[in-house]
Amino acid sequence: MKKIVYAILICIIIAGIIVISTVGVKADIIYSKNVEIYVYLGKTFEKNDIKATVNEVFPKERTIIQEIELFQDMFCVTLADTRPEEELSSKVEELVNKINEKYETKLKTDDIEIRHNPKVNLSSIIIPYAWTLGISMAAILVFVGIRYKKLGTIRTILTYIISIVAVEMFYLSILAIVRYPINRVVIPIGLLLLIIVLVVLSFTNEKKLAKKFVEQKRK
Amino acid sequence: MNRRLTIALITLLIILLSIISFAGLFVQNTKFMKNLVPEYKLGMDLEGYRTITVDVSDEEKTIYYDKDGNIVSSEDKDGTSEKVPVNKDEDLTKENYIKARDLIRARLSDLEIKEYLVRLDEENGSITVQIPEDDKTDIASQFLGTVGKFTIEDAETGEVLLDSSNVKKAQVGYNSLSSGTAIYLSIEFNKDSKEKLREISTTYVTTTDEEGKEVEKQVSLKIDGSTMLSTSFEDELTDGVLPISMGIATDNTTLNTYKQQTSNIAILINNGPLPLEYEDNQNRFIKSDLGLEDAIIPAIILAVIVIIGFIVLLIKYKKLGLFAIISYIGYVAILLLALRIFNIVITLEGICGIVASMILNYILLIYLLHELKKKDVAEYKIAFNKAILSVTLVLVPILIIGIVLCFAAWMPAFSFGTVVFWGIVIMMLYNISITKVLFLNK
Repeated sequence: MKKIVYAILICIIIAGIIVISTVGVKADIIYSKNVEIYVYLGKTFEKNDIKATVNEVFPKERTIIQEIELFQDMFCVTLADTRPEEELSSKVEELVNKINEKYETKLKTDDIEIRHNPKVNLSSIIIPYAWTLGISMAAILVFVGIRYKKLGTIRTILTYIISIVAVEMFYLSILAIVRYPINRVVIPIGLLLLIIVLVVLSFTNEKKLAKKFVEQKRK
Repeated sequence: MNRRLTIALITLLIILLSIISFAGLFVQNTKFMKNLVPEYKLGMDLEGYRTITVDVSDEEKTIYYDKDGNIVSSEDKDGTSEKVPVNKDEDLTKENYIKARDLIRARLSDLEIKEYLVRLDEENGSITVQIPEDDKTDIASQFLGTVGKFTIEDAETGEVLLDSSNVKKAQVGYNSLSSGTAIYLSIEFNKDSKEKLREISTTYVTTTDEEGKEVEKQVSLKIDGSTMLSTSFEDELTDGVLPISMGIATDNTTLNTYKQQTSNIAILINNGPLPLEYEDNQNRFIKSDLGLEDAIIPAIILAVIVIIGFIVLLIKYKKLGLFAIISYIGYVAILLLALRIFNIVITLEGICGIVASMILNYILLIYLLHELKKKDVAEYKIAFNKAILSVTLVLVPILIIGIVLCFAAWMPAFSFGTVVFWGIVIMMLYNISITKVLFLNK
């Protein structure tokens, strides 16, 4: 059973590596090439109402609605930059008409500011963790190497390295295979997984150590 | 003390702490009620950010020539002038755009902006930066479009004597004087430029001419053509270090202002100039898209998991399980209170740190209960201490991550690290002092 689980894990990781190296990971609109549509409404609004209107114009599409400045009279709609300029213009016109209808405003398409944003280099949000997590890992490996000396230093260190890398690779592979967009929660969940792996490994080793201690005492 | 009384007192204490933590501690302040518990300090992803865009400038500048064709600073009566773009066409390259982006990143990092997102449009060089809204935001926004070209020029002719490429390092220096604290911008020149600086310091001096008049030959220190200072030298500079007095402060506010100004100039000099001139395009505050409504579903899921965890504790460990639930609620309350009191910035990573701390505390309680269940009440104390020691050893790797990330210059990592660090420290202290008393007084 264990072997089957390991085989499945390895297959998923390999598939993930292939997907990442060929197609790459999918980035969420906050990190990918996106379009921001800035609308100055001139009166206060409910974010949910705006969201509903935006959903009518851009159905089944991931959009982000954000308030601009502190006066609650301006908002920004962010969506993926996938449309040709003409199609986007007609969509913006449709949005303006719907807003005018709903809020009894006299907005014109020319009043709307459209900004095309380039993608964010995903490595720039991962690299800042590299140094600190690298130092942490080195210190942890030194600690576990000493603490679980009786279980074999090299073996323990290798177990930690392989387990951590395998779990994080598995996580990343799943995200890549199912085309889950890399968003702001991906890294925090990765950190949470790291904590869980470390706790499980340390508990297992503590148990093994206690067992070994009892066995030695018996002898 | 009576066991029941002890338990009642501890339970009351936990209820009180929970009320303060979850609801707040309100006192009458003039007409309004004021919460004495500080608000959560939120990070860029939860609070919002300033988004600043700078575009490669397409403006033109006028160059004035005198009648002999020499460039002059202002329009010459008999001279000519021509308009040229501030950025030459051959400079508008992808390499320069990337260099500018990297320089902006370096400046933000030196300004100790702990979180930023930089987007570069490789086609037109436009750079958009998202940074947290705080007291450094305005300085950072000024830094984005500033070219930052540092020059030491002959004050009379405008001849460039030294520039940023000759500088090894610029830093802030202090000197205590009887009149206050003097702040210096200390510019250390590289090996090849030391001699040049020495020459300048012996050339640009005040001398007396044949008629006995004092003649002062000055240099101008400029950033982007604006004169910071014009001065002559009193001593020969042989060590390659040019100290520039930025002011004398007699109080902390002035000292900090001078220090900040000097540090800003040092950052510009150290990173070198942008390869292109930029102009501001947009500078606005954008609120986070993550609001309370987005937190409802994750909060419900978390609450359901916690409640299931509580039911498991109750069914499996009965009375001890109930004490564990009381203890658990108290831990979460104290942790959340501590995060606010210690002013810890909460980002999405920080929230994950809170969840991690909650999971770890649950594991610790289960382990404690598991170990105590095997023992008689008389052996509880020894078993508890033993179990706490075991869990502490398990938590050491997590504590290492927490401590190291506390030194991270990147806010999301820092937030996660500080939350995990305090989560574990509070967990150990709290369980040794509160949970232990609850369990031992079963």
